[in-house]
Amino acid sequence: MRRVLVVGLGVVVLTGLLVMKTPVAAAGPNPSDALLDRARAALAEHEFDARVSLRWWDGRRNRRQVVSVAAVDGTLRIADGDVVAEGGRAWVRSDDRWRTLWADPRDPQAPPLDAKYTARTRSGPVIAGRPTRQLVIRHGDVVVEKISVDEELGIVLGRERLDGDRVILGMRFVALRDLRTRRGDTAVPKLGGEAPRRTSAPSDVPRRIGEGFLLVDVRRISGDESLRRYSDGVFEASVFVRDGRTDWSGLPANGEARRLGTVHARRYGTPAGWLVVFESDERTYTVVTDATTRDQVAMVTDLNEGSPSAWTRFVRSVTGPFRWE
Amino acid sequence: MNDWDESLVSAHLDGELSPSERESFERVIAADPERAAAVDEIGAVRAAVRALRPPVPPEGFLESLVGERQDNVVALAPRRHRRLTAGLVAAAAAAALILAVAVPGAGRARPPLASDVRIHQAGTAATGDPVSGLAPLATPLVSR
Repeated sequence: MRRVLVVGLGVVVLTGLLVMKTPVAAAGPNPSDALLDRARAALAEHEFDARVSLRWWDGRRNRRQVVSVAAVDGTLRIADGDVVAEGGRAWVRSDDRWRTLWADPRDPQAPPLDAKYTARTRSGPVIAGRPTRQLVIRHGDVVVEKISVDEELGIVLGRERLDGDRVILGMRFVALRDLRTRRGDTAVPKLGGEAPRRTSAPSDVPRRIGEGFLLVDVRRISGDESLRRYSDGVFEASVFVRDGRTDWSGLPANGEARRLGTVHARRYGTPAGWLVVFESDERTYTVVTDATTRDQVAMVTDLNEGSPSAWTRFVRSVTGPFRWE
Repeated sequence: MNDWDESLVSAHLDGELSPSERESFERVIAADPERAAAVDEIGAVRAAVRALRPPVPPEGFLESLVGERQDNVVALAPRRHRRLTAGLVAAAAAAALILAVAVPGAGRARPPLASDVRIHQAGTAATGDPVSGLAPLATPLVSR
């Protein structure tokens, strides 16, 4: 009888752990989403000229660059207008023509922040002469992101993403001038057909990878290239999949050869986050993400091995805090 | 410098290092771009060699061998014939090698990394903060 009780208790505890660790797919209001919604609205309603300092860890050292950003007539213009965005759509100018980077402003259903993280707001630093509130997002006891928002306007003035003890990505306004309310509309470039097109997810695409990264979007880029986007509620991962083994000699040589879990990969630290290239099953994968190395290991392992089983997810959720590669 | 051992490169590329050896090795190459580049280069050469297709025997080669069999005894081909066959095999292997060297990565996927990063950022900016999403596009995203 006692054995039955012990076994029963064990099942209850394990079930409870599974339920606690299993994110819910439905989107819900959370501090991060609400804050970013407000930030997008604030950008659409205001105009300004700004200088923004970017910093990133390239895998070997910290890099820094200052970029011009202007909000004019409902558009956001980066680098003196070489990149233009409006309402979720984005274009980049190259060789005297506009290339559409993103044509679909629809919001994919990301999992809620509190499925994996906790968030608290506190008084933030003064940035570009403006007081901010700061949202601090934690995974367990570890801070993974800080977002500083203009107290009055709601514009995001600073952002830091951390990987372990290191800030791997940082954005901070260093000057904000000519702040005013929006004055008009501007004509944006035409949408080109080269932007990734939304498509339904094939059955062999994993719906969930790593620690709580859910499939939120699948897009076709060209005949044998596809894009799968995953989100864990805070970080995103774009997984580009191409047929064929990897032509390593054709890739930039300055990445780090690195083993991520069971996978040999080449990894680059970019101003946009980590870029991980690896091959599996006669396909070449490129993962672009600002998620932590620990998350990258779990994601890459699942992509290499296929969709993880419920048992694998459970074991990972229990052993996760003790694992680092 | 002291914890660098050339023989560890192959073991590293084969994933045969213990966790502590791997950590030590990666610490060294992380601090030394030249060694990191050398490791990358060795990895690329190994990948290229692995990618070489096995030499394809010339047409009629197998038939000529079978045709030489008599009473379960494989007769040696005349010396001139053997030389010709060996020459053809060597030529095929050389052609495969030249193809692999002259056209590295032929038929392989070469992801456009900068374009991938741009698309990722644009998608992220569409649903997140546009400034922190798009400002990186003004920087050299992936340099050689």
